[in-house]
Parts: sequence; C-alpha cells; structure tokens
Amino acid sequence: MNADNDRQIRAWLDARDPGAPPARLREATAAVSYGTRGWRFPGLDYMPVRVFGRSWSLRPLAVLLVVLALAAAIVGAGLLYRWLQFPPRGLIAYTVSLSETGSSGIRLIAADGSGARQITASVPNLFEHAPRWSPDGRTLAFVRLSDLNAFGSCIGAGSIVLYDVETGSERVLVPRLRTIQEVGWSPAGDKVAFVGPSVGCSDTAELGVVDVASGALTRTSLENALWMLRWDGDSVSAVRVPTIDGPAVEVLPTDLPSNDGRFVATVSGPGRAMDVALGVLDRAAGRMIDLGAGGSPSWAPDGSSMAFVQFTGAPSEFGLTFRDRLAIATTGTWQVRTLADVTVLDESNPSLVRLPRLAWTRDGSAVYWMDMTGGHVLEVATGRVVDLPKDLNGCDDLQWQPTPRAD
Amino acid sequence: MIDRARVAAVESDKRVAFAQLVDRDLDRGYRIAGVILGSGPDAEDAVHDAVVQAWRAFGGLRDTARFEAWFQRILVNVCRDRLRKRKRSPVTELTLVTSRATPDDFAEIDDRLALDRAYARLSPEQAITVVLRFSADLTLEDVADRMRVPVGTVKSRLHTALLIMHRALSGAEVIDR
Repeated sequence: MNADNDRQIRAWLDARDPGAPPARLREATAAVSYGTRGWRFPGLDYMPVRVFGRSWSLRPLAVLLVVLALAAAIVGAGLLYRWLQFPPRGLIAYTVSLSETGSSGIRLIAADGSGARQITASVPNLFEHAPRWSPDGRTLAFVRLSDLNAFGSCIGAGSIVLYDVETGSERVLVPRLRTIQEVGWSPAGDKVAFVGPSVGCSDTAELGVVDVASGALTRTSLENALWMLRWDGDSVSAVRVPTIDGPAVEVLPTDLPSNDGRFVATVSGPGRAMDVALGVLDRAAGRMIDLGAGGSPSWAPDGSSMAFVQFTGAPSEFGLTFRDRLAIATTGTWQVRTLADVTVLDESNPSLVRLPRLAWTRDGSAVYWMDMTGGHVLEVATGRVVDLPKDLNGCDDLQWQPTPRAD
Repeated sequence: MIDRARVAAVESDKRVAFAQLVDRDLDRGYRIAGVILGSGPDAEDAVHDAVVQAWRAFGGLRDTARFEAWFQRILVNVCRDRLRKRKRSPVTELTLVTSRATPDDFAEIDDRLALDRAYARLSPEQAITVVLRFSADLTLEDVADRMRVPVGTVKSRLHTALLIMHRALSGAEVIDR
C-alpha cells in the first residue's frame, strides 16, 4: 500500500480526533450509576421525589399507579356489566282479570315496561291462566277454562294451550280436561305435565304427561289433594303437599320440599300471625331449623337458598299494612339476610292475610313478587331492588321468562 | 433473610467502582467515538449511551480488569448503530474555509474531501475497523475482540476499506462494496 496514502489517512483520522471530552460528559457519565436502573424510561429515574424526608424513585410509584388503574378498570367494567344485567331480561307472563268481559287473560311485559301485549283474546266466560314458560323461553303453556259453572271452578272444560312467543301462534296441546291445578314443563322442554282437577272438586285426581311433539298423553290416577309436580330428568311425579285452609276457598301448602327433596320448608299456620313459625326440616340430618315467624317460603332453582317473608313484628301502619322483610336463607348454614321490604295487607283476622308469593328467576339470580305497593324484583347477590311496571299491579302468578336462546 | 445494610453497602461499592472505571476510560472512549462518527456532539451522545448500557450490564462483568475492552465493545456497537442510522438519513457537515487559501491548501482540502467521501462510502464495520486500527492503534487481535469477529474478517475489512480510501486519494473511481 502507498505509504504516503497511509500517512494521509492517519492525518485525516487525527484531524477527526475531538480531543478531551467536555466536562458535561464527564458529569453525566458519573451520574449514570446513581440513577439508571435499567429501565425503558430512564427520564423518570432522574426525577426523584422527596416524600417523608426520603427520595423515592418515580418508577415503582408509576408502576404501582398503572397496576392500580388497570385493576380499577377491570373491577369497574365487571361492576358495570353486572349493573347492566339487572333487572333480568325476558318477558314476564301474568294473569290479568278482565272484569269487562268476566274472564281472565294472559299478558306479557318486560321489566322496563316494553313489549307489553295480551296474548289471549278477551272472550266472555273464558278463563286463561297459569302461564308457564318452557325451559328455552320460547313457548308459553297455559290453562284455558271454558264453560265454568257460575258457582265455582270445579265444573268446566279445560285445555292446555301452547303459545309461541316469537310467531304469536297457539295450539291446543291437551283438550277436554277438567279444571287443572298445576302445569309444568320437563327440564328438556319436550313434555308438559299437569295435575287436575282443582282441590276439593272431585274424589279423584290425575297426573297427566303430554309429549309436546306428538301430543301423546299418559295418565295416572291420584287421590284428590294438593299436588306438586317434581321432575327427575325425563320422568315426573306428583308430590302430595299438606295443606291448611287459607283465605276464601284456598288451600295453602304447609310443607314445601326443595327440588332435590333434601329439605322441607314448613309453616305452622296460615296468614300472618306472629305465632306462625317457619322452619326447615333437614331430612338427612333429621333436625328442624327454626327461622322464626314468617311464611311464603320459596326454594331457589338450585336449592342453594330459600326466600321467605319474615314477619317483623312491627305494628300495622295505620291499621292497613305491615312492613315485613324479604329474607333469604342460605342452605346448610341457614344464615339469613333480610334484603327488602314486603308490604302486606293487614286483615282483621291475621289468619286471613295473604302473603305475597315469592318466585325465582330460572337462573336463580333474582326473586320477584307482588305486594301492596306493586311488583318488585330483587337481585339476590347485591340486594338491589327494582320496581316492576304498574301494569302488573293487582295481578298474580307472575312468571319470568328464562333467558331466550339466540337463534 | 436479606441483610439490607449489606446489600446497600455492596450496591454502593458497585456504583463507586463503576464510576471510577468509566472515568478512567472516558477520554479514550470519547476520542475513538469522535473519530468514528466525525462529530464531537455525536461522540458525546454515543459515549453516554454506551455508559448507560454498560451500567445496566455491569453486574455481568466478572473481571473488572477487562473493563476497558468490555466497554469499548459496547461503544463500538453504539457507534455502529449510529453509522447505520446515518446511512439511512445522511447529514452533510459543511466546512467553511475562511483563511486565504493557497494551491497546497486546495490540494489538502481536496484530499480531505476525497477521504470524507470515501469514508462515507465504507460500511460501518469497515469504518470502525479502520479507526480502531489506525487511530486507536489496536492490534488486529484487539480489533477482532472489540468487534467480535475473527481476525481474518478484520483483515478483509481493513483491506477493502484501505483500497477504497487509497483510490479516493489517487482520484480513481471509488467502487461501493
């Protein structure tokens, strides 16, 4: 290689030599080991803050703030999602008395008042009642009674009708029945069972099971009593329910078994006398749990808890109503939470007081009822209560639609 | 159980040791970076970046006697990255000649400009090899160590780089490699 060229290259390189480093570089590099922590945002490391006499690096504080913000956002989103899920979606089916035609009909309405419509025709002397949702929420079964004897409901022609909520079409599933006590769907939604006639109308009763698709009907004779339908998979049985005379011509069940039969809720008497005791028999343990003065027990669908009306013992307000409490007892521990007010009409005879009937949504997340102030739904987990539309006032036998499946 | 006082003492020793080592090698590192990058401010940035990287990795250095070579390796990487970025967005420094020029001055300027252009055409690896060998006066083995390549690669790069620069000085066409 050319020596002169080499010298020129060296000279050129020497000319590029910047010399000694400036003082600022020496200071900056000296500070590195006292500030840099191997982090992507070294700028923050050079911003220590003094709190309580100590210098704190901002990095851990910034990380903590980010983590807390993320946690708060996740919790907030969860709470908002839960908030928006209540009251439950779905339509409420209920029986309404149609005084102008001397009949009764079935109506639907959502908790927010939307979707209100009557699904049955208002025909004189035609009583449609006892709506019952299929498990998938698409079909409503109800009882249609016609030709009722003017003196009572024992004599009449009954049928079970299926109503398709989406199409609005109906078909008679079982014709030519007598009066009907209860109707219920199989868990699979492929059968409908019923018990009839009403208690006291005959010496005998029957349990019927109808295949929804084919209409095939099987019947089993029973003695005349109050019966409760219990499904065990594909098969159904009728469970006799002990009763006492209730208001008017009603009979009220004194024993209400849970769905799995492990427990039996018992009330010692009708009405709202303070000596009416509510208890739960634990069949396996053979012991009775005393829940105090109360009534109207209702088991959650999964049997994990029981709702009931707890009598408060407070005097009647203006001699007109009692402010009792809706309570929920957890199965097993039997811890009781009182969650909402239940307004009960005071009667001159306490045994004639009609307690509100408590019902659970199919998923067990809510309990709903009608009382003197109207309809209400309670979110079990939070105790939040929402009033139902005024259309429901005075009605009974509310049935909340199971969450419909998306097509 | 963690002895917090002991950890703090060790940590403090580590900081002091690092600061001392950097201070010792700062001059040489700054000048090497200055020659490679051809700019004092750029060299300051490169050295500071290298010191930050070195501090972060200081815990992994087993033998502080090798700090100089270790630090220069980091510095070489930083300079190489800067040269690569510069190639993507070239900046031309202008040199203003204010004194009365003589024919020899023009010849010197021509040679300097020719070498500037030739140097700019070198790959970052070739440029750094030239600087480490002819400005920092490192042996071929030390150059290979700083650049983490075999000695043969160093020789090859040096040969190519000097060929380009010699041809620039002779006025011959410079071939990009």
